Amino acid sequence: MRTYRKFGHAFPFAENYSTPDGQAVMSFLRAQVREVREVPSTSLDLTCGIARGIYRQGRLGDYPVDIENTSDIEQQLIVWGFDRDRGDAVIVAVRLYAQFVNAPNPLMRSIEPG
Amino acid sequence: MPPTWQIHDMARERAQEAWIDDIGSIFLDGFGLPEERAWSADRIAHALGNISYLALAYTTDEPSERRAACGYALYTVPPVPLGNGTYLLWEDAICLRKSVQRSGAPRELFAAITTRSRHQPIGWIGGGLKTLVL
Repeated sequence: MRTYRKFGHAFPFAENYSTPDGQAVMSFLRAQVREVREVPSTSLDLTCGIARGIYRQGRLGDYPVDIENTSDIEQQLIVWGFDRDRGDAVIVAVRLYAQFVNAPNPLMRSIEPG
Repeated sequence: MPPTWQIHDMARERAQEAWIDDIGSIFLDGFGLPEERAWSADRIAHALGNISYLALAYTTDEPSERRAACGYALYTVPPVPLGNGTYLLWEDAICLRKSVQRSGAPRELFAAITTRSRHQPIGWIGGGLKTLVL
């Protein structure tokens, strides 16, 4: 995610799913992406894209969360009540900047390691 | 040096047992899970039968005869474009062995998968995330 957000406009962080564009993106995801479609309506926050308690096992493994350059996102997730231990996930969709859409390879080289 | 990625078009290739073994092993190592939390071979095979692309990462200094993968990523591309005529690359799963985490591998992966996708152009990337970095 830290890498991908450099490539474009990231819902729900740069813009949440309550805007006209955000609603269109979420509608698409609910219709076309199995992982999103299978989230019960009662578990999905349609503004911030948090799917609550969808991983029955709770937090999966020992991955770090105190990561450089993601503190702003972590803060936002806290505000939204995101809880890894409860098995929450956040639905993220990044609209790529135009320069990454047609010829990603050469441009990737100019990005600092993420 | 970041690992290199091999992209498999799962509409045209069948899952190999070696891939399934590697994915199961990477899953436990990457997430630091005990054996009882393993992703079973049957479920991995089922997942591979329902995706568009499988990406496997290899470090370059491994012997060529039987290279064990050090990372995997599973992607689905819905057949319908998402706005402005571009396609969404949906990341169903991704995991790297701890030894190659934070090696810049996702940057190389992005370039590899967007280039190899039969659906062009890729204008979106998404996923259901629990963690923010690999």
